[in-house]
Amino acid sequence: MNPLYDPIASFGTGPKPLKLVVAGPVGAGKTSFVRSLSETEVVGTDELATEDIGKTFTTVAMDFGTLVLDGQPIFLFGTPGQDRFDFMWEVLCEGALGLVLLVAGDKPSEFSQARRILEFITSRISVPFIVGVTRQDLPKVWSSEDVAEYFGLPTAQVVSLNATRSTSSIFTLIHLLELVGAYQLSESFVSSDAGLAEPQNGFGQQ
Amino acid sequence: MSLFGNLSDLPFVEVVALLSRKSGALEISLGPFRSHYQLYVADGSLRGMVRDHSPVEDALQAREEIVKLFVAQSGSFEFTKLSPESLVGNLDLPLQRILLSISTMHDEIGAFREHFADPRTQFRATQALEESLDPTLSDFWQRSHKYFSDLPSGISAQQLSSLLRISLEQAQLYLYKLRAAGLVAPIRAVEQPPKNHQPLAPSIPASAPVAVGVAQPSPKSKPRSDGLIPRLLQALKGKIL
Ligand SMILES: Nc1nc2c(ncn2[C@@H]2O[C@H](COP(=O)(O)OP(=O)(O)OP(=O)(O)O)[C@@H](O)[C@H]2O)c(=O)[nH]1
Ligand SMILES: [Mg+2]
Repeated sequence: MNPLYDPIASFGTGPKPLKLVVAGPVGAGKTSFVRSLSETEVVGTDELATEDIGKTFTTVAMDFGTLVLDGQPIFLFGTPGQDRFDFMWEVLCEGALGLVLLVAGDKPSEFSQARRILEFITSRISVPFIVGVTRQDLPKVWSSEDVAEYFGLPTAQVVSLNATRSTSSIFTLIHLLELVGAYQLSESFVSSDAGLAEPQNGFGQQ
Repeated sequence: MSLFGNLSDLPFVEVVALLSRKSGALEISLGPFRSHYQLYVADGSLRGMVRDHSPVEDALQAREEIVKLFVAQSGSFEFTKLSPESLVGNLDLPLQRILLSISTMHDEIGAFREHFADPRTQFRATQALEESLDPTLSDFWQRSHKYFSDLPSGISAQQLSSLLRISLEQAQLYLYKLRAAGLVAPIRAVEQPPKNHQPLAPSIPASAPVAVGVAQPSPKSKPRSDGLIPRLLQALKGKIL
């Protein structure tokens, strides 16, 4: 917890918050990741799963956490994993500084859904992203290289982590920010309107 | 001689098999408030097609209509013999082969549905066509390739389905196959970072859980040292030291 930062009270006074989005299929570790990073109590919406999705609690709206880095507030949004909430992915990712798509490395059965989510978002919204392969602490998991191959991404865009550990989650965030920096968007993208930039998607875009 | 009946007793595939060596017009009425078709066939090939009084314009749409007939549970049909010379139309599609490819397509949709991209995912062309595609895919590619290469934001299955007037699942299947053939790929609205991008600050030690594929200095990506991202990175690194 960061006692110095109250996201609600600070809204509208300090620097405009940046938005980071965490997406992925059910059980990928989104809630864990946001909890590992957040300095404030995570506003969660986990509820008993009403459908058989292989776990008891699932996020029904989203996770919300905050982080302050050198005075700059960062809002962390974890999207719900279930397909019927897919309308939220696009809304949340519009104008985000970056996107972390998580996939559980021990659940290859979820990979095609994860790829579908990622491609849907990244084909429509101009957002830098990395793929995080969670559960790397377990004995039998896919490596990030193999997952990169499956997603058709450069290996540098896929990282391994344990989403329940804050150090590992911070490393993941570092990797994302390095990538954001490499896009050289620091002037156009992360301007005063950073995090609230206009969406760039859709049919009419030239 | 007269050839007539109902598709509930004699499915469309079988009707087509019966017509393989005949020439004439096959009228099919799927029922009240449903479509009415005229198919002109000669020597086993579909030469022209009229649906609800308007001609079907091209091979892709003809296939789409044939799919509807293929799955029709009922509908009356009647065949009238005509001389092959009178049957010069805008199409020339081998009917039985098309039916075979349609039944394959049905199986494929069933088999691959779970792996289809989201209908709203935007695709672009990745390379020029080198080998020949199977006829079904090639009809689709001919009608659609311009969208993949000309639109900067690419095109989705949803948009293709309405532009080309084919079913959404068929558009998804075509995309799936074109992708497997390496001809199209999802757009990345944000461009790939420069290969070997330069980390803005000293890179993560190799033992760290996330350090993958680090990083030759690239002259292109010179960050501003006073930039926001380096500040954020420094603060983040401070948290783990
Ligand atoms: N060992 C291990 N367990 C993890 C890791 N990440 C998540 N978990 C566990 O996996 C389970 C699911 O994680 P969640 O964070 O709830 O997953 P989620 O993506 O928020 O799931 P939904 O909200 O249902 O979509 C929890 O029991 C976590 O403790 C990891 O990296 N390693
Ligand atoms: Mg959750």
